[in-house]
Amino acid sequence: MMLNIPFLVALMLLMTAGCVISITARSLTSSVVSMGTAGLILSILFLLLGAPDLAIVQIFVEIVTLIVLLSTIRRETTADMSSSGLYGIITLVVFALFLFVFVLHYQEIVRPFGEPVMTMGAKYLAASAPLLKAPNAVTSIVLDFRGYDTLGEATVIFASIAGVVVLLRVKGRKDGK
Amino acid sequence: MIIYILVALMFFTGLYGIIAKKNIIKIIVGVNIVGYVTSLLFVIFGYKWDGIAPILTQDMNYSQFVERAVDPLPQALVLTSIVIDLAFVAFLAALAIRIFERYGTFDIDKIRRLKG
Amino acid sequence: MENKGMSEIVKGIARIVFPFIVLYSISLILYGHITPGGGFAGGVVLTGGFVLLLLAFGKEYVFHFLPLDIAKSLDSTGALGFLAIALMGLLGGAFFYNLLPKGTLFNLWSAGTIMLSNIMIGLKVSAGLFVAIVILSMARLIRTKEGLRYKQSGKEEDQ
Repeated sequence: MMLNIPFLVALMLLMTAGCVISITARSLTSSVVSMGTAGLILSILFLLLGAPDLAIVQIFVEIVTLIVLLSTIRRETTADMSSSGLYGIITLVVFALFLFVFVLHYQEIVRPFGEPVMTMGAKYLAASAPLLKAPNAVTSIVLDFRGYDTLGEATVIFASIAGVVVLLRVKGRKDGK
Repeated sequence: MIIYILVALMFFTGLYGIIAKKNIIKIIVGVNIVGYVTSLLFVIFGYKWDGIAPILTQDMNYSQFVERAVDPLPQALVLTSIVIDLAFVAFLAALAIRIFERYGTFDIDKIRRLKG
Repeated sequence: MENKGMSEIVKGIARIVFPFIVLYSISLILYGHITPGGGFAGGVVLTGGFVLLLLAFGKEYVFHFLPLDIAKSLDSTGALGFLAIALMGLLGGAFFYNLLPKGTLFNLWSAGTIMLSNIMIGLKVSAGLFVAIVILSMARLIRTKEGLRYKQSGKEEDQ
């Protein structure tokens, strides 16, 4: 899909609306479902920005996250009661300050959209097909050029799942404590 | 520039959910949104004008591919990060289930006061 | 996630769709170095397929299909297999060195150890996330004297 800047901005506005609704909604179910909407729009954004691997992974991760969260709030869909108080006001003030400074010094903080640095990216692209005979440059980076990071990621996922198994263990005690 | 302002807006929405909300499920939703926005920002940094995906097909000229492809390195970093975020949300949901079992509520003010 | 499963229509459709999901995930894993996809994409698609079975049929049927102990062993096998491939590169001169012969471009059997690594990562991600989701789904909400409580469903005292 060719990128069209107004289309990209419209999709990002939709995603922003999804995020804002999910934080300020009263019912827990609607906040989780609108977070799911934001995730699906993110998958379309990945497709527009030239990352098809990420789009596939993001859709399925989004669906599984929705199922996990909806199964923990199964019958507790009460309204989110209280107001946010002092911390919320401090966060909003800090955000307004950040936005002010960012808009003033915009050129020095970020590169213009569409001109990446590509110091290592160009070398990986140039070496992936001739040297490794793998047309998919992203897979060859994840599993061969930067394979050590994938080993660390496998360790992190393993530790997280071991944590889930240990937390929800019954330990053979009687019910009705 | 409006792209970066919208990204900052979404990030602060997620951060607001982590800092200022009183329900554990809203905090988990905030963590998830911050994860999404970080992935999006990485991929935005790697985009090139009129770029194509960094995957060579059979009818493509090789030097033209190297010139026109988007940066593959941020995509490789984000790919593992998305799956790690899923395992992280599963862990946080297990914590929330245990907290609800012990205290009977998802509200963090009441959790501080009920010493079970 | 109810224990009894859902209605007959959902069960019939899940029965038809599940082999296609498995086929799609195997295709993503094996052709990971030629087309978009790879180990992570295939792994999470397979997890999605197992979640579909869990929602449509209930926990007992899924345990008949893939018991929890075998899923845990597959998870560890995937992680150790990936580490073994990395250590095998030590024979060639460096940790993670790509040792196997790289064929011609666009073939299935090319690019050295990348296809084996994809298979190991796909096994690990799918089995690991399946274990986490099944254990999360076994927390039941029962009514005790103090009101609503989450309780572990009593099938497993020692996991």
